[in-house]
Amino acid sequence: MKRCLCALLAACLMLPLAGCWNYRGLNEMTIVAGMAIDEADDGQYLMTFEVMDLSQPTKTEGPNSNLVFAKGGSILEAIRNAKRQLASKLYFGNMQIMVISHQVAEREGLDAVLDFALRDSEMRETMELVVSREETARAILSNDEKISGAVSYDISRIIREDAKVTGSVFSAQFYRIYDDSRTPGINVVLPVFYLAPEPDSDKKHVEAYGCAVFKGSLLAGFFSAEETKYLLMVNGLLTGGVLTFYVPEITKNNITLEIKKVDSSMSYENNDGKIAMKLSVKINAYFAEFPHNKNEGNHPVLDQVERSAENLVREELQSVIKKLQTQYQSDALGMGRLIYRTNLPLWRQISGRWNEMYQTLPVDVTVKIHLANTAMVRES
Amino acid sequence: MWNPFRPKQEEKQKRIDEALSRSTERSKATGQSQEEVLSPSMEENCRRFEELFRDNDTIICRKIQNACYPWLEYRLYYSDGMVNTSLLHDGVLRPLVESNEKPGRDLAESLSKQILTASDVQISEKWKDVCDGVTYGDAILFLPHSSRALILSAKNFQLRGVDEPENERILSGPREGFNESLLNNLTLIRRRLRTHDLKLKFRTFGRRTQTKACVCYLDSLVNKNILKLLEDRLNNIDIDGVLDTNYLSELTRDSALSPFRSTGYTERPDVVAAKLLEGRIAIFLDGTPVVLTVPYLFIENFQSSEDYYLNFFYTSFSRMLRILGFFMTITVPGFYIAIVAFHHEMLPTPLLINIASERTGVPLPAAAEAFIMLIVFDILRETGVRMPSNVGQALSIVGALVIGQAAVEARLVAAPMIIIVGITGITALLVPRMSAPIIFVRIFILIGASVFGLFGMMLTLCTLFIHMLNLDSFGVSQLTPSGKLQFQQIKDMAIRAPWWKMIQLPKRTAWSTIRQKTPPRRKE
Repeated sequence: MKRCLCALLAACLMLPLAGCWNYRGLNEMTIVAGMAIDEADDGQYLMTFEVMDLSQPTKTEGPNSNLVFAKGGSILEAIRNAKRQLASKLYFGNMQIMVISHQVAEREGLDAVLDFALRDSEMRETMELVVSREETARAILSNDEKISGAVSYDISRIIREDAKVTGSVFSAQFYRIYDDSRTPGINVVLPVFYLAPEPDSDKKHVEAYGCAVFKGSLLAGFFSAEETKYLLMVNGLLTGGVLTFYVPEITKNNITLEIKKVDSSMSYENNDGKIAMKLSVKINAYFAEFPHNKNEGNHPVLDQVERSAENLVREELQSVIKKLQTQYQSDALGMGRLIYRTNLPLWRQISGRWNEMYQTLPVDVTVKIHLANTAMVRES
Repeated sequence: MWNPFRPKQEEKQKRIDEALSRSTERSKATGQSQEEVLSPSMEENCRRFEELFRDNDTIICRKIQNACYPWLEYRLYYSDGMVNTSLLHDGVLRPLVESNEKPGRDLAESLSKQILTASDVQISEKWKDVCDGVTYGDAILFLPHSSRALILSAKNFQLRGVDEPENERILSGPREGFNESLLNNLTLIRRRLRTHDLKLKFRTFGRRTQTKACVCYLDSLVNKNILKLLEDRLNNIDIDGVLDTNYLSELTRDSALSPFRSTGYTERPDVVAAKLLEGRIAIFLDGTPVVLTVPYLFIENFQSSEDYYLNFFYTSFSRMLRILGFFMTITVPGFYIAIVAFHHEMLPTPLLINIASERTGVPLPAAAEAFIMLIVFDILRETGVRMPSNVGQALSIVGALVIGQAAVEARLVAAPMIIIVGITGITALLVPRMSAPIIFVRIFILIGASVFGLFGMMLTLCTLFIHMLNLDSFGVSQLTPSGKLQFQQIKDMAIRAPWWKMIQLPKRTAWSTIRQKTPPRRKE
């Protein structure tokens, strides 16, 4: 009896140690796939939740989603207000994306959103943050063209796959973004989505646009998909993508290289407070399209292709960096962070005037492209 | 835990003893006693015998008179249907009637030595032997003017053949199985172990059934402590009847209230021989084909005789499957409930949506659903076991159609639950020896998981492991290896090592540990 009681007590003592142990049936909750944050006319938040529609059996119809709209003075208030029109509470454990409208990003910044997502217990730290290029954020979620039953899941799949294939979009998972927003010397970059019109019809589909660059917590500007690729080369997030360019001396068609691997390294030189950045990018690539009539074993031809590709990448990189420095004034490449991490005393000296320094920082870009193979079995 | 050997039960025991002595007094009144002897008068003996077996019309009395010496009158008693009448005729009746030799002074001696040609003739003067003999198919011959009777063994009852046991079928290997005759079963063992080292000790259980049993072991391998413990416990048994070895198994087990087995059971002589060769003790009981083996290690739940007759890669794999099957069948329902009702974040999104959409409109919460479906499954299983095979087919159709499809389509049960119950049921069949504990442990874990989620499941699993680690079988720990863990000792656990690698016997069961001389190095 005594032993039984002891065992029972010990078990009871363990109960508060474990986290969540309230019973909540799957049919007693509204599964949220994604949400969009807009600004309403009266200054409140207008939240749009994409919730899974479970009234139809998935066997025949496949999953489908509905939209739920709610307004509130803060994000959580809007979420609670949403319950008024729903039978069961919203469940955020499997939410994949959070779309932020560019008005919210421009005027209020990311702080409120990041803080709420961090404090909320249900939201995943791995959800993707996305900025809408459309007029509102809810426009993205209310698109009718769905592949996997919910726009949010489509977007999260596009993000996951595209980083490897096109290099135009990247995964901005919440915990990384929060980390970047708190680290000195780097600014946040978020992927941007828009509704692309389809040729010969009125339909539109969700497509990756590029990225949004922030200055502090506020949106500074957008980069196109092409520019994003070069941005990602430096950030080390690029694992795929193509380089298309034109070398009239070799062939009258476009040459396309597929990027296999990118190694980039940044360093700086400090000459009595005058800081100069050095950026070197090494790319391993192979031919994807090279329609020509020359002998591929010919070294001068390959060298010429490499040279022109290097020139292209260097010029594009320089223009992207210029745009970042002057137009957006956003240190999205983390140059300040490099100094902060490697030379803290120096960073302490310059951190006050880093924003001004950054705009005129000389950046030396070197690019080395190595053609790993020609993707041909043999010349016939 | 309650233990039948605890001296605490003394008072109760005293009461039982009193009741028993009263009943023996009653049997004394009818004349049967351990020590009572026959009287010198045949008429007196016959009268007494008929009094003892009155209202028993199967007892047949045959009066015999010798042709040459009419004063030689005998009485032969036997139980109809239990004796071989032609043997009785050729070996007993004809010599008694036709013999013209004058018997010597000691009638019993000279009959058994010179006249009777039956092979097994015993002389006894005790009533107990006479009564035991006639109830076990012997014929009793009362002699004139003698206080001794002849017990003639002419047993002949219908027996099953040595067919392959239904519940232990294998694909390759010996196909003999025990039947209900003790001596036949012992013969099957003798044929496999032709050594003088094999000891076979008879004893009797059951005050009323007087069932013969045999404790069997290899003298040089058996652990004497285990043997002593077993004999002590067997000596303590005092019960009116023993019909199957499970009576002995429950009466001698270590932790009386555990659902796990503490004795092995088999109907295969090759399995018993193999266990004897590992130093275990086998208990045979007359009237049942099931033979007990002790001590019983936990891993024996997962072992099958076929493991040793097929290639070791294949059998190691299937043994690991069985262990996995055990864990799956006890945890799958609990795990499902924990995930679906508590930890939705652990589900991949498409799966979450699928399960959630299946669950919409189902009236019961998932946990209640799981309980009901498990019970329904057990009902189906239990009915299927006792049904004749042609009814069983109809049953499986009803079960599969009604439960599987109609219930899902009528939205009474969610489809994933059917899959979970299906997995649970199939994996349970992997370990037929554990069917009893599995049912209880599964429900136990399910309760834990329904109340506290994964935490509750872990809590119940820990409780289960603590219990399992504490299990003993005749003083031998069932799960924990004694002493230092040695590689030799785990070669027949999760994997079945090739025979040339199994150099030693399991230390927990065998006294001596040498199975084979170290074989020459092989190319591996």
